[in-house]
Amino acid sequence: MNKLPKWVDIALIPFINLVLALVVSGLVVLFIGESPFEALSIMVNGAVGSSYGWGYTLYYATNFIFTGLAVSVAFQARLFNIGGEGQALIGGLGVALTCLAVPWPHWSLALPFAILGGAAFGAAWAAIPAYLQAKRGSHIVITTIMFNYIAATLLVYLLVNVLKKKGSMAPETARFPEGAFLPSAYDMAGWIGLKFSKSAPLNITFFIALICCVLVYLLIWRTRLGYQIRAFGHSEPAARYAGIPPVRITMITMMISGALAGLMGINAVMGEAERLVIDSVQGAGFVGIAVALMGRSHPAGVLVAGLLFGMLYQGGGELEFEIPAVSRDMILVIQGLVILFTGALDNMIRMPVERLFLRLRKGAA
Amino acid sequence: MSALLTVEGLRKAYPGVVANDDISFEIAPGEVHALLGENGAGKSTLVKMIYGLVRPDAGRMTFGGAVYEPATPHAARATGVAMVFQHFSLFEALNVAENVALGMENPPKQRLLAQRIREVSENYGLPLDPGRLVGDLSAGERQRVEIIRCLLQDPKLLIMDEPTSVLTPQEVGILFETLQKLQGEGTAILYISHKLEEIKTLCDAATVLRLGKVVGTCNPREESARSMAEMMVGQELHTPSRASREPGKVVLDMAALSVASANPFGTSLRNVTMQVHAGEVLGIGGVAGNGQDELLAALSGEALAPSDALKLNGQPIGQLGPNARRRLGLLAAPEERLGHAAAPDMSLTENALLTGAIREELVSHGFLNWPKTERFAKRIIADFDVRTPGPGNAARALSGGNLQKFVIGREILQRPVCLVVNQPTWGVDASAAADIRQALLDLAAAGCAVICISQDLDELMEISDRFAALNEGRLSAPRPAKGLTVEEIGLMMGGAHDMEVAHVEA
Repeated sequence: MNKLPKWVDIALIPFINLVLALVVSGLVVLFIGESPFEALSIMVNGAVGSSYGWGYTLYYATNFIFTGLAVSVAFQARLFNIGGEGQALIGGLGVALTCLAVPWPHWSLALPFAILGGAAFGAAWAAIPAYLQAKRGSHIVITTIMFNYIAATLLVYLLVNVLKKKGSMAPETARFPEGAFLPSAYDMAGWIGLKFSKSAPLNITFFIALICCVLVYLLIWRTRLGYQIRAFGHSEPAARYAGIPPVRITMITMMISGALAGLMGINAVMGEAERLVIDSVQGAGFVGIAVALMGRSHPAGVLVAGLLFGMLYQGGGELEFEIPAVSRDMILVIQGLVILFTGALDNMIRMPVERLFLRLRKGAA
Repeated sequence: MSALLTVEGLRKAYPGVVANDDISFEIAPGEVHALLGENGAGKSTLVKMIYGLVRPDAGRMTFGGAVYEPATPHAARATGVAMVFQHFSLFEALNVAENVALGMENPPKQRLLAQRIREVSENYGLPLDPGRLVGDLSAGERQRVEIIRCLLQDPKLLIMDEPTSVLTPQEVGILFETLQKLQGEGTAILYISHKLEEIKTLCDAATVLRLGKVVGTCNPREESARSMAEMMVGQELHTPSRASREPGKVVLDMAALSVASANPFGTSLRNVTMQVHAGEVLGIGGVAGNGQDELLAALSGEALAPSDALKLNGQPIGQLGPNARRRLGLLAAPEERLGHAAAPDMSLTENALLTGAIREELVSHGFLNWPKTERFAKRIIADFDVRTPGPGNAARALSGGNLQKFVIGREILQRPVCLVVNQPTWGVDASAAADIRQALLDLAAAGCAVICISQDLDELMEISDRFAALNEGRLSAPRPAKGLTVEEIGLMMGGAHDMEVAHVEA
C-alpha cells in the first residue's frame, strides 16, 4: 500500500510543480534585468485584477477547457490526440457554416445547431486519423499532427477562394447574422443587474464548457462506454477479452475527442470573432495538451488547469504590454516552463513527496 | 566442507509488510538447496537480495568466505552468482547467439561465441543451435538458452526459479541430468519450485519459508511431499475430492477447428476436435507455446472461427464475440492474469465489471451500477478468500495467487454453462491451488462443463475426467485420465524434442 492520499496527488504535487515553474520563470525575468516580483504582480493583476482581466482570462480558459477535455478523453484510451488544433479549426469551420447558412432569428436557436455543426466537423476531422490507427496501424500521434497542417491549409484555401466575403481583401468570412451573436459576459451580467467589462470576449460558451466538464465526467466514470474506453486504455488484451472491440472504441473515443475540440469554435468563432478568420484557434489546441497533462486527464483537473493557463495567457499578455523588455517569446518561455514542470517533470517532485509520505506514515505506525 | 554462501539474519521490509525477517541458511559447494514456501512467503525477495536486485535492510552474507554485498546483478555475476528466471528475457526476433551476447559484459565475436555455445551445450547435454531464431524455439529450448547464458559465466552458484513449469516430463529428466552434472563439478544450485516430488529427487537440503521467516529445514529425501507441503502451509492440507459421476450431454462441441495465431511467433490451431460433457472436467496438457493461448482465444471469442466449428448446446457460436458467448454461458479465464484477465491499474471493482457486466447485470441503459458492481467484487473476495484490503485496490497490488483466485472466482460466480481456464493455479501456493481445484470440481459436480488447460500434470491428473494434450497446435484424442502413466502422457505431449541426455562421465 504505497499509494499517496488523493489530495496530494491531485492538488499538492501540481501546486509544488507550479511554484517551481514560477521560481524558475522568476530567475529568467531576473536574468534579463527586471524584477520578478513586479512581473508577477503585473501578471496576476492583469489576469484577475479587473472584470476586463477576468473577461479575457475566462475566455481563454473556455478554449483551453474544450481542448483540454479533448486530449483527456482520448488519453483515457491511451490515445495521444495531438490534433486538437486542427480539430478545433475544422470545428470552427462547422460553426461558421452553420451560422452563415440560415438568417438566424435568435441566438438561442442558433446555438444548438452551431454546437452540432462544430462537434460534427471536429469529430469528422478526428475520425480519419482514428480510422488509420485502428485499421492500418498508423500512429495516431503522427497522423493527428499532420492533420493539424492539413486543416490549416484547407482553411486558408477555403477562406481565400470559397468563403471570402465579396469585395474584401481579408481572408475571412462575412460577419454572422445578428441572430447568431452569442450573449457576452457584459450582456449576461446585465440580465442580473451587474456590470461587466464590455470589451472582454467572455461569453455564454464558458457555461457550455462547464457543462462539458460534467458530461465528460459522467461519460468516463458512470457509463459503460466510458468504462470501455478506460479499460481499453489500461490494457488492450484485457479489453479484447472483455469483448470490447478495439476498432470501434478507438473510433468513438477519437470522435468524442474531436467533437470536444470542435466545440472550441463556439467560443472563438461564434462568441468572439463572429466570423471565421484564418487562425481562430491560436495554439489553444496545443495548450490543451498541457492542460490535460496538468489536470491528470480528469475533468475537474482540466477545469482548474484551464483557468490557470487562462490566467497565464492573459497575465502574460499584460506583462508583455507593461514591461517592454519582456517580449512575446519570454511569455512563451514562462508558459513552456509551466508545461515542463507540471507535465514532463512530474516524477521529479512525485518521488521525493512519495518518500516523504512513506516516512511520515512509517513514523506514525 | 566450508559453506559457499552463508546468509545470516537477512531482513527486508517493504511499507506495510516484512518480506524477509531474520533469514539464515547456508549452501555448500556442489549442494542442491531447495527454497520452499507458499506465494508471498518471501522466496523472491530473498533470491533478489542474493542476486543483487534488492538491498537487504539488515543481516550479512558471505560468499566463499568473503563478505558479499552485491549492489547490482552485475556485481553478483562478477562474484559467481547466476540466475535463471522463471520468465525468460529473450528477444524472439534475434537468434540464440545474439540473445546470449546481449546478456554479456564483453561479448566475443559472434563466430567465437557460437563456438562456445556449442561446446557448453554439448558438454551439458543441452543441444542448441546458436543460429536459430529464438521465436522458433519451444519453451524448453528457450530455457536452455537462459541456462547456457548462465553457464558461460562459469557460475559457482546457480539460482533457478521454477525451472520445470514449462517442460515435458522427458525434458525435466534431461534438465535434472544437466543439473546433476553441474553439481558433480562443484556448482551449488539454489532451486525454487512448487513441485515437491522434484525437490525430493533432486535436492540435498531444503529451507522452508513462511510469511518471511524460516520455519524449518529438512532433508527432502527423508520427507514426504505431503509433510513438506504442510511445513510450507503450516496446517494440514486437504486434497480436492470428487464424487464419481456419469457424464451428461455434450455441452461444447468443437469440430475440426483451425485458427491462425494472431501472434507471429504463436502456434496456429490445426483441426482441433473435442466434445465436452456436462459435469465433466476435460484436462488439456502440453508444453507452453503449443497452442494453449490460441485455444483459449478461440473458445473465449477473442478469435473467431467458422460458425459451425464451435457449438454450445447445439447452437453454432463460432462467429460470436466474447460478450455474446458470455450471454450464452461460455466463460473463460486466460492464463495471463495481469494485462489479460485483469487490467493491472484498475481496481478490483472495475475488474469485476470487465467480464461480469452482462451475466451479473451490472449495466442499465448504458450506465454502470457501481454499488452492485462493488457488491459483486466483495462477493468474489469473500467467497474465494482473496486477501486484499478491499475492492478499491488495484489488481496490480495483489499477489499473483490472490489475483488468480479473484479471476477464477469472478468467472465461477457467474454460473457458467461451460468454463475454460488456462493455467488456473500457475504460481499459486499449495493451499490456494487446492481451493481453486476444489472450486472447479464443485462446478463440474453442479453440471458445468469444465475445460482446464494446464502445464501442471499433477493438477490435471487430480481433477480431470479425461485428458488430451496439445502438441504444435494439434489436440490428441482425449483419453480417460484414470490409469494414464507419466510415460503415456509424455508421449501424448510430443515427448522430448530432439534432446539427448548429458554424457555424464563416470
